[in-house]
This record gives sequence, C-alpha cells and structure tokens, in this order.
Amino acid sequence: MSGAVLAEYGHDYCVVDTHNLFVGTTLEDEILLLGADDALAAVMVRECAGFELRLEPGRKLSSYSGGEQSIICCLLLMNLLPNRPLRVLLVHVLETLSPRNRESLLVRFAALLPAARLFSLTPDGPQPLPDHV
Amino acid sequence: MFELHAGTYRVSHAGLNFILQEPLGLPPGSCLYLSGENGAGKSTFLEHVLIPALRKKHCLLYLAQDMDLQQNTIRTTLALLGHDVPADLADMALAWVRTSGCREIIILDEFDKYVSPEQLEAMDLPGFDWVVQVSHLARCERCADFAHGFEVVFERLGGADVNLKVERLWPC
Repeated sequence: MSGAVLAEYGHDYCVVDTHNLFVGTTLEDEILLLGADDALAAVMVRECAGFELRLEPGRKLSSYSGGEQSIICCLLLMNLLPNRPLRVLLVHVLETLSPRNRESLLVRFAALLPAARLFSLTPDGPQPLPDHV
Repeated sequence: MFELHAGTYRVSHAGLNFILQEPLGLPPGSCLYLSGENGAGKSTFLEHVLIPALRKKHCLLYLAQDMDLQQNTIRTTLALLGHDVPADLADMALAWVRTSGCREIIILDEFDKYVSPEQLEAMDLPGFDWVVQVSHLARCERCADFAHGFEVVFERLGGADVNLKVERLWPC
C-alpha cells in the first residue's frame, strides 16, 4: 500500500506516509543515512520538546507511538528540506495527531517551510490544507 | 457486563503504569473511546491491558494502528478461506470483519483514518456488543446507536505514571 502511494504521487509530491516514515532504526541512524549534520539530533530534541515529546538517544523509532513517529518524521523533514515551493503530501499523518499537536505541526511547517504547500491525501486524491496554502 | 477493576496496571517493558481511578464497567451495547495526547499510552494500554482482559471471556476483532503487518495476515486469512482479497486496505478490513463471524467486540485503533464514512458504516459497528475506538478525528455520532457511551481519558503524569479517568458520555 505504501509503495502504491509513493508510486502514484512520489513524482509530484514529497510524500510523508505514516506507513513508510523511516529508513533507519533510530533517529541517529536516520540522520546518518540522510547525510545530515550530527547537530540535527540536538535540534530535534528541542523541536520535539515543543510537542512534549522526549527523544531518547538510541531509542528505536518503532517504539514511539504512531503519532509520535509522525511528529518526528515531519520535524526531521522540515529541518532538512530547502525552503522552496515544494508540495508536501501528508498521508494519514494529521489523523494520527491530537488536535493540539496537529495545530502545532502546521505552525512549525509554516515557520520552517513557508514556501511549501501542504496537501493531505483524501479518497478524492490530494487536497490542499487551507491553513497552509 | 465487562469490568476492569480500579488499580494500577504496570506494563513494564513499555515503562508505563496505568492508574485506573475507578472501575470501568461496560454493559453490552457500549461504545468506549480512548482519548489523550500522542504518546500517552493508549495503544499500549489496549494491547497489554484491555485486550488481554477482554480475551479471557470474549471474542474480539482488533484492527491495529499500524496495519503494515496486520494487512498481510488479513490478506492471507481471506485467501485461505477462498474469498476475494480487495486491493484497498479499508475494503480488505471490511471483508475480514464480515468473514470472521465475531460480533462481540471490535477494537479500532485509529482505523477510521483509513476509511470513508460509507466504509465505516458498512462495518456495521452497531452489530457488535461492544466497540472500542482510539481516534484523533472528530467523534461525529458514529456510535450513537449504542445505548451507552464511555470515554477513558489518558493523562501522562510525568515519569511512568498515566492517569486514566473514566467518563460516561451517554446516557447522561
């Protein structure tokens, strides 16, 4: 299923799919595999604290709850992607978040990637998020 | 009636202690919502406290939060039973629910994010004696057909302790 979403929309969108969030086992692995600066780990600790999410060094990403994994993945991307007019497609991401965290995540997207456009996958295909258009 | 006694339920491998302040009593025809912030332990409580307690006496269907592994099981089960296997995850789950024959308890852990209102309606939730749901989506009135509505609110107290507060939603 994840592959199908990526195959269908991967050319036109940066896809963030709750079924296919990470490549690495830990956040440190993920940062290494993405070729990012090690300092990003400290940034992530600070970013996640804003969601009352305490990152633990070396902890397996799969051991965080589904919503927490979505938050970590999105914050990681926000800190790595260039601020260009990208189209970011969220697949079942916002639905895993509490209303407070959903709002906080959209606020962080707007602050870190103001040029990006956010979309959410619906049964009718990708729909722009009105709050971030 | 399903009852879970008041007390502290420790899930040591997850490092969480669930403190149920008062007994949770669910008569047949109950819809139970589990709510709380991300990471409060709702899915952990489901899998390590509630489901083991329910399974002692009841038949249940569980659609987990992360369907990656479960969808393979569902696909295989349907195929072994000689049924067509729909490509769409929600349709697949719907076929599995219809095939199972269990109509006592259905547990949906954020499963509603995958389904349209029509697909959810096709699951015929009122056909079950109990429904347990975890969801961050607007509640709507999808369980209004049930005689009783309850909510357990999860609140992380800091450290390992999670406070569980039981609220009756309806009838008031």
